[in-house]
Amino acid sequence: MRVMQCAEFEQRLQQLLDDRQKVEQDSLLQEHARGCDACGRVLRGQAGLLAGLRMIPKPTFAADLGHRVLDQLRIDQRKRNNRLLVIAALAAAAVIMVALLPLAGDRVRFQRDHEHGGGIALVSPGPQQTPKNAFTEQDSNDLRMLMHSLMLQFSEHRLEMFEPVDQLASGIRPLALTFNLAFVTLRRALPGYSEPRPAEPQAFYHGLRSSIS
Amino acid sequence: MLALVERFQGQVFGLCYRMLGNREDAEDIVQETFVRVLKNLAKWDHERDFEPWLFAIAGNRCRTALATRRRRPTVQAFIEPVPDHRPDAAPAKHLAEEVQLGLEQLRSDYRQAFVLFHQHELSYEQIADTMSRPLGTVKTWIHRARLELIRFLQQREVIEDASYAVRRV
Repeated sequence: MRVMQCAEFEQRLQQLLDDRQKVEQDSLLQEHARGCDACGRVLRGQAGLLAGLRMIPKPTFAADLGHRVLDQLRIDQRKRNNRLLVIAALAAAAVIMVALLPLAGDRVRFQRDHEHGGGIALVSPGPQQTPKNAFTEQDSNDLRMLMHSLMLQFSEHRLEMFEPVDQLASGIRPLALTFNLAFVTLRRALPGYSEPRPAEPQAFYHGLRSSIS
Repeated sequence: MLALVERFQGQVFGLCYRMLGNREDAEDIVQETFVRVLKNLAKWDHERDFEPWLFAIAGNRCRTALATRRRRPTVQAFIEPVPDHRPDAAPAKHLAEEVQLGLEQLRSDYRQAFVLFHQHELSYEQIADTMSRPLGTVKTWIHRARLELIRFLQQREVIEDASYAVRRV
């Protein structure tokens, strides 16, 4: 029988390892290892390692692992839905703000024109004219109702909705408070609307106090 | 979804446990892995095997956890003993613990490749796919992992240097 060379031994050993065969039971390798001390050590080392691997017991895991995964998925889904709701609310608020700004500007112009009498009048201005695009009382009431409903939608206690978003973007909450404050300011700018100013400074108004403290 | 998790949770847990050496950490990573897999199931390329994709995500999560653990040196990794109820289990348990300890000493990429090959019986091609590495690199990693483990067992005198036989304790 031809004696295997060391290079052939290594090649065959590698092939058996690649095929996940038991190297210690291969007669050709055993034969060569008996006559070659170096290859014998290599063979016994590999055999020892593979034996150790086979003896590692299979670890057990928590029985409810699958249910925990599904619970986590549900929580993530809920957070995602809340985030979408908040983004939609912010977008709607931004759109309404943009739409209302020109109306607020009209009111400011209307007040200015009346305070100064439309400039220096040498003669009696005569009966007061209603400027074009000015608010009627009905408009004012409608807008006040709208602002009131928006305030309710966007009031301070709803800010807890921002908690999931806060974890992702810490600037969201101050932004929401700014919108809140803007609504209050706009509401006060409505014609015929009177609201006593709070005694405390505006900086501490409507939730800013809690965010600052 | 539950069926998919239950079908693969044992394999994923096995990999994570071997990578991290700690049951709680492994369970957390298994949970993270499946949440990520289920959220991104639509991104899975149906022409590829599912297991390499799953193991790739689990392996990445494990390596991230190991990197985090390295940045926090106060949290010590340890080998958690696994109860073995087989008769005459003491020598086997000792050797198994030493092999597990040796696995902990390996580079994380060597360890992942070695565990996937020897314990999960993935082919070299699947491991290369899982780890996004060339086939030759994966073969080299597994070969080096074997040599390093044998050297570790010799140094710990679990495999006797003179005869390389498995020492009975």
